[in-house]
Amino acid sequence: MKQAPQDKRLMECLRPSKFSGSGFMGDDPREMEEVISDDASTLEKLGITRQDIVSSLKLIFKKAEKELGDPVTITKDLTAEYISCRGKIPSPFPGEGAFTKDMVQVTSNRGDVKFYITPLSIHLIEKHGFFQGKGSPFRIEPEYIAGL
Amino acid sequence: MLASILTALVFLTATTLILSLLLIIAEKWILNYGPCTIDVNNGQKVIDIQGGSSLLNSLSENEIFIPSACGGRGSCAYCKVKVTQGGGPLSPIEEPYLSEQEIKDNVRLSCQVKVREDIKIQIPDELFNARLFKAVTASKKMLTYDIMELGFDLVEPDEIEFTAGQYIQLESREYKGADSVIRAYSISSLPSEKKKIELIMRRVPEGICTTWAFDHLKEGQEVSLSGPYGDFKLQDTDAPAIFIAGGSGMAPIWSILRHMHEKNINKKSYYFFSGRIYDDLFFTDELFGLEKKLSDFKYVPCLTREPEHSSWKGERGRIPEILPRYIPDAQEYEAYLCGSSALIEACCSKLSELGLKDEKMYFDKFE
Ligand SMILES: Cc1cc2nc3c(=O)[nH]c(=O)nc-3n(C[C@H](O)[C@H](O)[C@H](O)COP(=O)(O)OP(=O)(O)OC[C@H]3O[C@@H](n4cnc5c(N)ncnc54)[C@H](O)[C@@H]3O)c2cc1C
Repeated sequence: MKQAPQDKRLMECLRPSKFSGSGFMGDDPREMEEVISDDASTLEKLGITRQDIVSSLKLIFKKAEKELGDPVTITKDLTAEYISCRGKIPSPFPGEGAFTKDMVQVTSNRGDVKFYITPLSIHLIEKHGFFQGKGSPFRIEPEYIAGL
Repeated sequence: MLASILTALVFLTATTLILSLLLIIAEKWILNYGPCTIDVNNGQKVIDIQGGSSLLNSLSENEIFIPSACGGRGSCAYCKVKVTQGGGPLSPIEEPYLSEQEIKDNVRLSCQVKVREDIKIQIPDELFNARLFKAVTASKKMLTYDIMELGFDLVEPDEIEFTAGQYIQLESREYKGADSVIRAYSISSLPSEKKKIELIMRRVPEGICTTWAFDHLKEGQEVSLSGPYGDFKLQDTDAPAIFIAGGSGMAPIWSILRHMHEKNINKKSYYFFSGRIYDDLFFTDELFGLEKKLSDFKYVPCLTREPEHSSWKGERGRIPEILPRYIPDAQEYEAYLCGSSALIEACCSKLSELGLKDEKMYFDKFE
């Protein structure tokens, strides 16, 4: 099927670019709409809403940010650590403004990075239900957050 | 039958040709905006250009470099300038990046403004000094596990004029599928060392430019950079100063403090530097050394997670908690902050409590 020009522009913005080295789709072969609807069904099955996830992510982000880089315990096995980065990254959806590049790294007690939370990734989930494609280092698995 | 098909074909071809011709003529005559002028800062510089290009490009072709990170796509919002005449209507691309006040003040994204008529703009004076430089990577030195000092020798032009506290924009090269990008870095070297530029860079997980600089950039490799930019600098007053930084935020303060020493600028000053453990500190001997060289300067590194049993004798805890012990009343001071937005916010709020006025707190406006 032929893509509408806006869709084509959006797909370009979701690929690795001057702003996001990894892009937003990872190596996911699905279209963005499929990623969004598959994640929405996962949430439905889990009986939680997108807003629940967003609230949890914002809470972890705020808690870690307040500690200015000191690790904070978020569950028995996970710690969150705020990593500051000056500068801003624009949303891949045109016209939505730019978000600070600060991030929170969530790590298991064994030291392996489980996921990153960034202001942009929270925005994409909140506004579009877009958790990003599989393989994107900034994808947040809904099941994983639900389990926390 | 054949004759009518042929007639239709000829008619269609002729119409297409005429339309294309009309389009070419229209582009030449209607879309040709002819010679236009860009008046910068009320006649400080007047540039004659051929209309039709973006304001950002027209300016850079005339050696006025406005900082930009997205190459004119209207998505980084760094290239803001005040257009006081002739900018045309605000485009929907610009709107989300401008505050209400900026819109009232005629601030525009220069990459989205097309020069179609004579234009008047206002830019900060220091942008007249910004140049494009070719440089050679002279040194890469790890300062902590994720912070590196990068040294560049300037080649063309081979000297830079800047004020301690300003920043440059570094262009990375393409690597492993990553695009070449432009990112801002504060200058950590001294303004008097005109032939080189030093930066202090922190690695960012999944970051394009920092991954390039840490893992791919080689000593001896040529790079492009532009600058200087920014108005973060020591104010010309006698007020005592509080410097606050964390991580790579050390860069502009390191330049300012050594510049103070070199120029014999003596003012009471404190430097609070935030780290987690002792290994997060760098330039420690040099900074304690400055206590002896500057007349009334104190360096206060603050560690938040240094093991209790370690031999560390300095401050333990966060800067906002430690500040009041050194400065119970901050009314007379000026504060210079560089670091994460969270650190800046927390310290500014404590400084307000201690009596420091907002207009005396200085940090880069892109934070
Ligand atoms: C005035 C100024 C001065 C500065 N000075 C210094 C300095 O002296 N030293 C220094 O080290 N830095 C400095 N910086 C920061 C620097 O400009 C860069 O922003 C920083 O080095 C990161 O660049 P990068 O290309 O490595 O990361 P980028 O690739 O630009 O950004 C990576 C970040 O983008 C976000 N991101 C990327 N992809 C996604 C995605 N798919 N989903 C969600 N989020 C995503 C994440 O938050 C990630 O952390 C300064 C910035 C400014 C504005």
